[in-house]
Amino acid sequence: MDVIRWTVLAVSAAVCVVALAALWRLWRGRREGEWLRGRMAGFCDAADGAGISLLYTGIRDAGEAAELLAEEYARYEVIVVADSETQAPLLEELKRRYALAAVDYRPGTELPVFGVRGLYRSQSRGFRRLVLIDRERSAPTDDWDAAAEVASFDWLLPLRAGERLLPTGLCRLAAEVNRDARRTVRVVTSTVGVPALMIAWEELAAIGGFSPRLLLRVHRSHRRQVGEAVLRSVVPPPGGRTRIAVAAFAVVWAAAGYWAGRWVGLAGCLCGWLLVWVVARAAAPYVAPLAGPVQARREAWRWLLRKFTVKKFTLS
Amino acid sequence: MSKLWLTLFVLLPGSCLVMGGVLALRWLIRRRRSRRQRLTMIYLRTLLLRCDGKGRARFPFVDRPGADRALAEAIAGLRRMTYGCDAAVLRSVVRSYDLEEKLLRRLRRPGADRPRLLALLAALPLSSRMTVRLEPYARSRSRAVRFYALLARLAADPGEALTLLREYPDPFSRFECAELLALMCRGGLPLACDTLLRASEENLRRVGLCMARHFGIDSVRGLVLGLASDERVGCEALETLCDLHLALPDRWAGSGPLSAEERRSLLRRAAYEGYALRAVEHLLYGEERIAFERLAATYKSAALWT
Repeated sequence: MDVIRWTVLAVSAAVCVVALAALWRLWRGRREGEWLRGRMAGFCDAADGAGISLLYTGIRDAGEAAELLAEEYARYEVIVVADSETQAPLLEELKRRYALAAVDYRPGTELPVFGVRGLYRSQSRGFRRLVLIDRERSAPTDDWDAAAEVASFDWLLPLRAGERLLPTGLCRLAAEVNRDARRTVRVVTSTVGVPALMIAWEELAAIGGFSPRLLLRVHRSHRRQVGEAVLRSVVPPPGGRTRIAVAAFAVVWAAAGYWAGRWVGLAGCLCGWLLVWVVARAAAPYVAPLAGPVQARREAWRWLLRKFTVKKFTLS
Repeated sequence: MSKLWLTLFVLLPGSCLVMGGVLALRWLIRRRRSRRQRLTMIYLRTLLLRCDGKGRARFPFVDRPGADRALAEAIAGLRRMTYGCDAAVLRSVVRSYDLEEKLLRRLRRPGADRPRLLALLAALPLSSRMTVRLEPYARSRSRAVRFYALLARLAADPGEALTLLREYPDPFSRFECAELLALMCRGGLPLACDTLLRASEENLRRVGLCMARHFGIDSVRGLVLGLASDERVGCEALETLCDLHLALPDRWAGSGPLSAEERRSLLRRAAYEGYALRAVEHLLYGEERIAFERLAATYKSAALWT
């Protein structure tokens, strides 16, 4: 019994420590982001910024491509993967809207690519940034590999369905790469809000393509973390069931804390939850800085309560 | 029972106090920041009036704590956003409100955010004596402080730009080159591209290449071609040639080929910029030739098929 009690107390203490560390990281990330945003205006227009290829899988309508193409960063392209068998009308719409024409495609050997039916580029110079791959539907990692194979830039940023870039998100990632004078950075990640990962093409080829455990295969010294959000999700957050699950978990955890250490245990649990709340509150402005300030903050706070805390601190 | 008392009267109020303290601190910081932003806006309008030559509009609340920084930020913002703004008016404001001295005092405080303050100083029209006064920061252990001290010294004495850039010990990153270009765009760095490319120092060459790429200066092709064989900036020189759509060198010279990674990166860049296989094949090895052909085909075929 003592072991279980001490475990409950230790986990409560660990939650407190993790929450404090997250708070510190968020604060530093925000300061650095604010600083860089002030310096980046000229830099992002420069012709020699890091080139970034966005690899997008799970497109549902043509408007999504338009949103991805609306970034202000100078050196990037959008590679969209779709399946002509299940999404024929969408492909036709994309081809018509962006004047896409089939181009020659020969698979390479660096990445494990299969099932590609065709590759399309725009004839219009205005949409030179858009590339479309027609590929049979399978796992997102396979789609990203196929997209990486035809990427023109050195850095790859995979996006899932419903994920969009925050304003200046690309600039923030590019600045992180370009600040490294010795060029040792191979992966840039962001775990605030929607997790993002940007990887160097050569590194991806060396580890044999995208996989769920990709980050573990890159040496720690080659990784760099950005302490603020660069992506947002347009997919609605999980509904009532998740909220009930979180509330139930909180109550059960508080009861376990009381059982383990009586009032001290309960206080420890409450402290942990309070700290998690402070972290979520601090992270809120990064997640939805698009709408009006008050409304956005409220929305972001709700979103975080429903998703972020669950994902990061409790149920995962 | 004692645990209950401990919890009720020490732990719970204590944690609530800590949380309350954190939130109060956050509120205070926000309030201070928003006040400074409002003050900066007021100063910006006053500065615009002065620059327009509409009398000697006065700066309100200038004795308040933090007002010096707000005024400095207003001047920096104005210089960043406008082209051809009368520097004499801004210099007279800096001099009459003693902004240089006040910001230097802030810099000396322990725990000061030195890179930010030095970047702010670099955006002001400084007097040339600041070059000497900022010298200690050029020897700082922090790379950011060293670099922004260099930027501030360049802004203070643009005539010494070549010497200061030569003396800088670290190789510039791309971000730092972009900062130097931003200073150049404001007219704070009177350097010619070919002077930089002819220099023997790596940093000067790097800034020169960055400048050629940024402003699209294709008249320096010969100099850039000469740098393609350089061990340190060879890759950047080739990238510059690609970006300017100029002919690449006929063969690898001097230090020999780039690393495989650099070659692949260059290959992708060349394909993106529309180079044909014939233009780059002499720079490729084995499978790279096939890879380039494959990538270039995805750009070229469209023209044939439509």
